[in-house]
Formats: sequence, C-alpha cells, structure tokens
Amino acid sequence: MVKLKSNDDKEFEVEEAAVIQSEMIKNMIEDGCATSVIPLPNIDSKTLIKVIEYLNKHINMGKAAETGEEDDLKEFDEQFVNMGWEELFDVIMAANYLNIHELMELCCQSAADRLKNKSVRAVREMLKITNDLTEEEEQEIINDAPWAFEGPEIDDTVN
Amino acid sequence: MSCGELAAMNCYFCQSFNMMPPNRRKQLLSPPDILSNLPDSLINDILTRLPLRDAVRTSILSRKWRYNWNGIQHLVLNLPRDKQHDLLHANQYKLPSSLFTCSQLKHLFLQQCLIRPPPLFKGFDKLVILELIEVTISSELLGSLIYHSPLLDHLVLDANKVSHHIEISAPKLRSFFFSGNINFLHLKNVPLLSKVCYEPIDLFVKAEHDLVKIFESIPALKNLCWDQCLQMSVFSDELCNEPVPRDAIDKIPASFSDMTFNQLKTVKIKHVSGAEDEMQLIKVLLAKSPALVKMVIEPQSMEDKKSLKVLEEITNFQWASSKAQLDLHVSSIRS
Repeated sequence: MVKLKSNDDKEFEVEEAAVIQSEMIKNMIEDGCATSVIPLPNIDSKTLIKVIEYLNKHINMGKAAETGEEDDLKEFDEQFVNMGWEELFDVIMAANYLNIHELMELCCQSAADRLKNKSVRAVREMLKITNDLTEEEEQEIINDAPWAFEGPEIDDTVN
Repeated sequence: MSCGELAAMNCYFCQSFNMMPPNRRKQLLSPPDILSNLPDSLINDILTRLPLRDAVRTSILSRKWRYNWNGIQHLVLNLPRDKQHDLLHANQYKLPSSLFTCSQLKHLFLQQCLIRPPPLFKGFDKLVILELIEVTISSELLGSLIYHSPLLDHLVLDANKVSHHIEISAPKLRSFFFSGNINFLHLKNVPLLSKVCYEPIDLFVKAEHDLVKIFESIPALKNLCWDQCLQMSVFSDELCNEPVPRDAIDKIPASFSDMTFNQLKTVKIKHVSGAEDEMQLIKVLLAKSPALVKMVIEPQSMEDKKSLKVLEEITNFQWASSKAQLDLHVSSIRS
C-alpha cells in the first residue's frame, strides 16, 4: 500500500498496483522515495478521491479486454467525467501533475466534447470568461474567418 | 522533510511555477476565469481535440483566448464531413491569421481550406511534419512555407489546387508524398530525401528530359513508389491497344547515359498498363540502379493476355543489380 496526503492534510491508502498508473509516483517508488507518506501539495482531498476512484477502477485495464469488461469500463468513464467544469479542470490538473496519461486523455476529450458546436456566448458563460475585446476587435476576428461563426448547428445552450 | 516529500515538492515546483510563462503569472492577478489556473499546455491539449470551426471560434472569447493557439504543437485541422461539400465552391474557408502565430508548431495537417498567411508570415521554425490535402494555396506561398520551415522531415502534398511551379527547398526533408501534376514540381534542394511516393495526375512527364530532371533532383533516393492510378484509368484501353514500339523499349534514352541511381534500393510501380512512357521508366530504373534489392510491379486490372505481355516485356529488360528481386503481382489481374 502507498499513502498519499492531500493539501488539506487528509491521508489515503492506495494499492501499489493502482497508484503506479501515475508515472510520477511509479518513478518515486522505483527510486525508493515512497517509503513514507507522499504529500501532494497541490491536490485537495475532493479531487484526490476522484483520482483514486479512477485508479482503482482502471487497476486491471489490461485484463478488461480479456474478460469482456471493456463495456463496463467505458460506462464507468462516461459516468466519471459527468462533473462540473471546475471539478473537471481540477482533475485535469491533478492528472497532469501525477502524470496519468489515460486520465488526461479522458478528461481533455470530455472538455473538448462539451465545447463542440457551442456558441461564443455559451462558452463564455460556461467557462466564466469576461469578454475584454472591443466591438471592433470582435468584428476583425469574425471577418478573418466568418465561416467559423455561422451555421445552424451552433448551439447557444449552456450545460 | 522525507525523501518522498522532497521529490514531490520538487515536481510540484517545476510544474506549477517554472513551466508557467511570465504572462500567466501576471494573469493570475486579474479576476480569473474558470480556466485561469490551467497551464497553457493543457488548454492547447483541449484545443487540439476540437474540430477546426470550434477551435477558431475560441479566438473571440477574450483577448487572452485570441492568442491561445500560439503554443500549440500539433494541429489537425479538417472540416466535418457535412461541410466539405460547401467547400467545392467556397473560398471563404480561409484559415484565421492567428493560426500563423503558432511558433511552436511541429505537426500541421490541413485539409480543404484556403491558406493565405499574413504578409509578415515567415514560416514555422519548428515544423517537422506538413500535410496538405486539397488545400488552395499559391505556388509561391507553398514554396515559401516549405523554405521557411527548415526542420521539415515529412511532407505530403496531395491534390492541392496549385497552378504553377512549386519550388521545394528543404534541407532536412527525408520523406515526400506528392499527388498532382508532376510537371509543376521543382525539387531544388533536397539532399537527404530518400523516400518518395509519386501519384502523378494529368499528363505523364512530357519528355525524357523531364524524367531525367525528376531523378537528378533526388540524389539520395532510396525508396520509390510510383502510382499512375489516375491517368491510366482514363487512357489505359486506348494505350494498351497500341502496340508498344520495339525501338523505344530497347534503347535507353541518351539523356540517362550519365546517370545512376546508386542509392536506390526498392521500387514499387503500381497500376502498370504497359504505356510507352511507363515501360521506359521501368527500364531505366532497372538498368541504372546497381544497388536495387526489390522491384514490385502491380499491373492495372486488365485482360490476362495484355497483362502477361507487359510483364514478360519487363522481365526481358537489362538489370544493373545482380541481387535484385522482381515481384510481379499477377493476382491483381482480372480473370
């Protein structure tokens, strides 16, 4: 077992087989640097719980293909990314820091899927972006590639 | 502090501070949007996964987003299928000028769009792979784009709408795929180019002189693939009915007498129909390539008799290499 400590001082025990999906921790273990608690100063406990949930589920990724559990894993992934934007970005940051490639892929793809076909107004609202461009600048950007800003598939709803 | 704590602190420090560009450190002071804490490399990661239209639309979100593309290393920009139809008569799918500020770009894949960079654009310093498929670009710009991408290693130019000579000067280029009018191609400086795949369309090379020019310009040629699928599908029947003049086949053109393809190891010629120019090319390659290891001939789908005649003809050609193996793909012959 490997002990991880979040930045709000909560400790979590994780099986080594699960935690080595993190390249960073795997390297620490290999270098003999993981004998005591590993502090993760930029991951809070809420995010760390999500990451551990993912690691535990994906522990036997290789075996899933043989035992026909792929669909189960796919369903888990779909459910897993069903979270708010802020939470999603926290997990992306944590996955990037811990260097968990598959989790990065999953979350970045989810972020991209959510932005697909969304109107400019909708994206600004979803990501809480303050528009600091002048009207002239906006027009200039639109004139540069007008085809990107029009079309019936552009979706103005926020979710 | 334990060894583990130290290592973790160290990693954290590298990732969140050192890798943070100075402008981002400043941005943290202004009211943050939801993405503010996300390093640029992760924003790029998300942008790269978006279809072209959506990625372009992010440039209007705010001043910061206008230039968010700048750090991107891989760009695959193609339009969704349902949009492609419009493109046939639309020049409005012009790439936004912000794309040309991506100075970190290593891999650029563009399909069906209009490329017109801003006047001051000088190329992509770090570009390694460039693939352009059915794009509209002027010959001068294409030549200049290639010239100003000094690290270019792999180049694909596939059926692009180009109407004049394209000058290719790429000192690091190793692999090149070209589909289009081969007469427009001028390989000026490609000392390392070893792998070439040509799909010539329109007419075949006009004269043997042109054929010499094509090969003279690729001194390091090692693997050649020549696929004449497009022209032959139109002219093949006509060509095959014409008996191939014996004289033309027996003689190696004088312009080739000083040339040898010393590096050439493998050749693959696809859709062989037996046309005179094509047989000439095969003969020259066989006679002038002392290091040849393998030549693969795939005849175009045609009647057995014609096809076998063509193949027989080829086996009678002179060989410069003693260890070369000839693969005749008779399986593609229609029964």
